[in-house]
Amino acid sequence: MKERIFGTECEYAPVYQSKKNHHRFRPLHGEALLDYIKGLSSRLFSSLALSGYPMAGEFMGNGGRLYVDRGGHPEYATPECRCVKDLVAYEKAGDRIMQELAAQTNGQTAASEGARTLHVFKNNVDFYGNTYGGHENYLITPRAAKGIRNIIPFLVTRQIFAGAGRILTRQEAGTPSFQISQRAEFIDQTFSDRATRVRGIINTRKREIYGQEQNRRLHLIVGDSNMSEFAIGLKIGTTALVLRLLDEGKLDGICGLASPVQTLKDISRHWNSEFQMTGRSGWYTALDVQAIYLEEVRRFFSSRAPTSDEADALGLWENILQGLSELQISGRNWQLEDDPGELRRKVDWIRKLWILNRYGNMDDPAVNDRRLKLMDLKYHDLNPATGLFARCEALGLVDRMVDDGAIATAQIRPPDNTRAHIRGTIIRGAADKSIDVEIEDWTKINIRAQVRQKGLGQGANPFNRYKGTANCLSIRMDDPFKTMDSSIAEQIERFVGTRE
Amino acid sequence: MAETQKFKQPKIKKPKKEDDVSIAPGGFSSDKKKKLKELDEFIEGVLQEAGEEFLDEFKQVEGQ
Repeated sequence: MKERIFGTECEYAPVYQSKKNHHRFRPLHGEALLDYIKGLSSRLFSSLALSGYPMAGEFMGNGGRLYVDRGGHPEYATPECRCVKDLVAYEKAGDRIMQELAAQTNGQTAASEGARTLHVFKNNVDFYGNTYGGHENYLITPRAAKGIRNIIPFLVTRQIFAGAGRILTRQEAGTPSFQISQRAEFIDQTFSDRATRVRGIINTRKREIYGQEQNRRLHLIVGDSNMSEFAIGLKIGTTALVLRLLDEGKLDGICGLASPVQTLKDISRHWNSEFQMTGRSGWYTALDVQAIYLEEVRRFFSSRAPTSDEADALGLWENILQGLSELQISGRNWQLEDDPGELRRKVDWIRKLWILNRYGNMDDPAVNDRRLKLMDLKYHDLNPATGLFARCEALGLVDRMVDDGAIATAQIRPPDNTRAHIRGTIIRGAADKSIDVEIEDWTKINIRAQVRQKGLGQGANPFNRYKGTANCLSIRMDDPFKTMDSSIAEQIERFVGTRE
Repeated sequence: MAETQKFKQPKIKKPKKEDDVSIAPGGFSSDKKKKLKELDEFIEGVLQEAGEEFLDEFKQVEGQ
């Protein structure tokens, strides 16, 4: 599969931060906590009515989806993308949208909530050890699905450039320590069809998708949510490269891990830890395994031309692995000693470690580990006035893969090379007209010639919509590669009166 | 060791603070120093404003 569809889903953490010397929130438990988090998400989404973003139910004018997940988190799914830079722009667009909603919510509730402000965090674990995900979806061939085991060593080891980093306090680990991945500790099995409690490196939950004889959906929940644009691009781009070889049957027997889940955790705890592989002698590091996959990809493309997207990802992968081979970190106290490749500008866990190092040594008995934990969490705060990554970006201390213009465009317009274009165009076109658009799911749109419900204001459920039935035009978009064509455009024009 | 090792093993160097090396030969530029100072002040301000008690407020539900 030379051209691939991919997308990400991100569960964000909404948190009220009380101002100093004011009453603090007392942690809730069980159903009360779930109701509370759902309430925060609803409050956040109530600002959608004022935001001006064209919506049709949970779907957005950019082709993506905004909703509250079962754990109460506000969640954003990117539209279907075909190139890595697009995916980066659309994922960052989700971050910007969440932050805009938080700012609007705080503006609306300033009088009643003056002692606290709502913050949205893009991370994967709270202070209490509850985890929430950053998921990836890839369209793959049945051949790749059959040989999916061959990608496991790659997925276990890619955290050395895709990890978001995490500090553990004395209470959690006996002594303050660092892990390069947020999610590794919460993965239980190599394969699992569940997304909670028993999580797998490969999620095997089946989803019916178009053309089962040709296509499969690979759903990954093992990855971290990334702040760094380069980390997002590396994670998606390198995974797509490896999947290309898997599609072509070029990874059969490449290598295997004796204990994938334990190795995942070991690498997270000690980034250059050594482990054994099946069918090979000796001891290996995560960098060695990545080098094995990179070599296979290089060999594959020695006899065929990569797409420009693949060439970009390959070049970036080579540079990052070279940089990691030169990276020096003290194993004793996680002190970043040398980073000649300046990976701290691209890799989240290295940038976070660099920030933590500025505060103090983790093996110093006097170090305030709660303060380190606070810095860890604040790295992921989307508010540019209080987020540490956001401030690093504003100061030019991190590299960008896309510019602000591309992200601003991705907030409102769909990609033009997948079915998201049809979805987004219809939603945008109907936004200011008396036409109700219902998006049943990622593959089906109903357009109704009915007056849409009016009067949605602050506090209303923005996902409410008129459910009338008359003059309904249904459009199926089974093929994710299909974009707007003249036939669809003509049908839509009769109902929506727009063409893009 | 690995059978396939495509990257040079790093030389053992005298441990140094990351800030002292590799950012700019010959030391930091005044602009870099200014940025780092600004970042440190920003972090201190964020930590002060949030307070350690904020950790207790940061509680979520397991995701799906």
